[in-house]
Amino acid sequence: MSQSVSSLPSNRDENWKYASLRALSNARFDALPTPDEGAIARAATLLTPRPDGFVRLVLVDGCFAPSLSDPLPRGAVRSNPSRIETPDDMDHLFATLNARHAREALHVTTDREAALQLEIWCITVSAQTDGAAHPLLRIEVGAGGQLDLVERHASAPDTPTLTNLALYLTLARDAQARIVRTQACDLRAQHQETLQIDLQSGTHCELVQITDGAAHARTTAFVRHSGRESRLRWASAALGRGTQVQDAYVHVDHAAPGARTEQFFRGIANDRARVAFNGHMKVARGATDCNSDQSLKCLLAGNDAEADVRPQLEIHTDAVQASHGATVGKLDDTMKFYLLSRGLDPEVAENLLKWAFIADVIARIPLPQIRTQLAREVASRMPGAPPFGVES
Amino acid sequence: MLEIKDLHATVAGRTVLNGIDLVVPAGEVHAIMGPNGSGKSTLSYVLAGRPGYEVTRGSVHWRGVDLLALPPEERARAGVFLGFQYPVEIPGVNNVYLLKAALNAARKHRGLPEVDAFEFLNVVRDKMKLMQMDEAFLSRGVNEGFSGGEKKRNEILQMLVLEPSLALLDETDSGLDIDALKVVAQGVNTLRAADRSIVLVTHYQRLLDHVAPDRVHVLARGRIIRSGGPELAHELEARGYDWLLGAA
Repeated sequence: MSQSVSSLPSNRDENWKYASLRALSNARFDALPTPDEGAIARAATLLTPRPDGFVRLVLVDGCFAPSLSDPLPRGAVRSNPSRIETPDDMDHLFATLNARHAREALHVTTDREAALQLEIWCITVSAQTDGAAHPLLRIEVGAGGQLDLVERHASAPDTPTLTNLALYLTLARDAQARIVRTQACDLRAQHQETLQIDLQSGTHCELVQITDGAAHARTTAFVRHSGRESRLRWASAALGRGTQVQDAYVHVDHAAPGARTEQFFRGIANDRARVAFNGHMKVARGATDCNSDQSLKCLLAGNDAEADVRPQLEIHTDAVQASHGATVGKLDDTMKFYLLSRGLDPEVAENLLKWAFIADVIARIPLPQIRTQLAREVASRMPGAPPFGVES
Repeated sequence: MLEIKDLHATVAGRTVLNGIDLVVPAGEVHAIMGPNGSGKSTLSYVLAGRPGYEVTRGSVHWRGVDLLALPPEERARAGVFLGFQYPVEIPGVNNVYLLKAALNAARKHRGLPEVDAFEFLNVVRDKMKLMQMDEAFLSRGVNEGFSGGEKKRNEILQMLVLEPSLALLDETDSGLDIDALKVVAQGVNTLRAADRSIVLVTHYQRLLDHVAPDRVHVLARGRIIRSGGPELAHELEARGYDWLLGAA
């Protein structure tokens, strides 16, 4: 029996103000069927070359696909999702649904001071609308360990299917993570994702996220600096075109002294798209000497486009350094004229300026070979863009 | 030949050009001088087609083509180059991409094949040596973090690569020290040719010590109030503009 939910968030809920929820009102959250060989074959066509040295793991319609994956690395298991517990609140509703309906969890644990380079693909190919893909990832990086994670989300053409991802990441003491996430699903798809990241003492997490796919996409992220002197660098870019909605809510809880967060967002809303980013920085009582810096900017590049960037500070202690900047603006006319005066077509000039706008996010991708590849991928999806890559 | 007749233009509803008549034959360098606010930069922008600069009367023809009928990018491809007084910084777009894209846009317009990366670098390296610029500038964002002098050299570098038939240089000498001025002047002189016209907009005689103009025009209150040979620039240097403004 299909199951919907009786109470989804609404735009009256503060943290869901800019999300696109209408399409979810009739959504069914039962897990999609286990993919057959045809589905696996369709998923295979979406894979790009594996980065050198990385272990590739592929989930199709929320299920682990051994035939598309490398052997599970040491410490990785397919486990029962019922062990996942989520807070009982609206912001975690989709994580709860994920835990309830996911067919399995992919659970990766690394040893102390071990290094792992992991590429995870979550591909949805089913065209069924009476169910959802629920990829469920749990990653625990051992003390002093190093994780390089490339997480890719894609869907087959013309699939309106809902993907509802949950990612749980824990960095044990002094561990480091470099994470690159992309979401380039089909423009009919629905994409929901909930991230929970726990940063223990002395950890360092660099995360870059680029989203330009799906009809309606929402990232809900909770990052907790649970240990002293942990560092987070969060950079994300969201590109919306047509009637896409790209929405993100990122809550960072500085729960221990000396935690530092740098949050950087660049969004571009073309056509009639809506792009929103809500960055909520909380500094808990007693979490002294924390530092938070937010730079949130959005470019309105369509007459009917909408952009909302919202930095929020919630500070419960003294001795904190917190800065934030948020702007929404249009393409700079002087820059555009400069490019036109050099003979560039108006469309090329505009796309160059849009590229320039998100270039700082691309530049923050901490893995050079991934940076080059993603720069080319993103450029190729900017309509009318010249064939430029990271070198431009 | 550049032929401007009775050119009137407004910016934000304010009339700035009040009937300019000017002819710049091919092969000549003309200097346009004038006090602040006289309309020099506006004239440059109008010729290059900057949006917001509205021509209300008059005509501009370049090699017989109605320049005012063309959008800015087509003017550029037709051979018009504007060296900006304040070159724009565009972080995230590097010089080498812009230069190559601009060169290929012009070549395509002329029916020539696009240059590949190897050919392009050969071309640009020679020009960079002339402008005494380090190759590291190529990989930097357009004018990003450049000093004032570096920006002006970069403008001239672009001009040398694009080889325009009409170069409009808007106060290219401002903000340059003596050595940089000589380098920039050398770049301009390199481009002098029988089939090319150059218009130098400047406040000062010092650029004209290094780039000898064929004609000098004084622009004031949106009109050319005096034209003469190179000696006019020396006279302006010695006497200022007041004696002309009073008579105008």
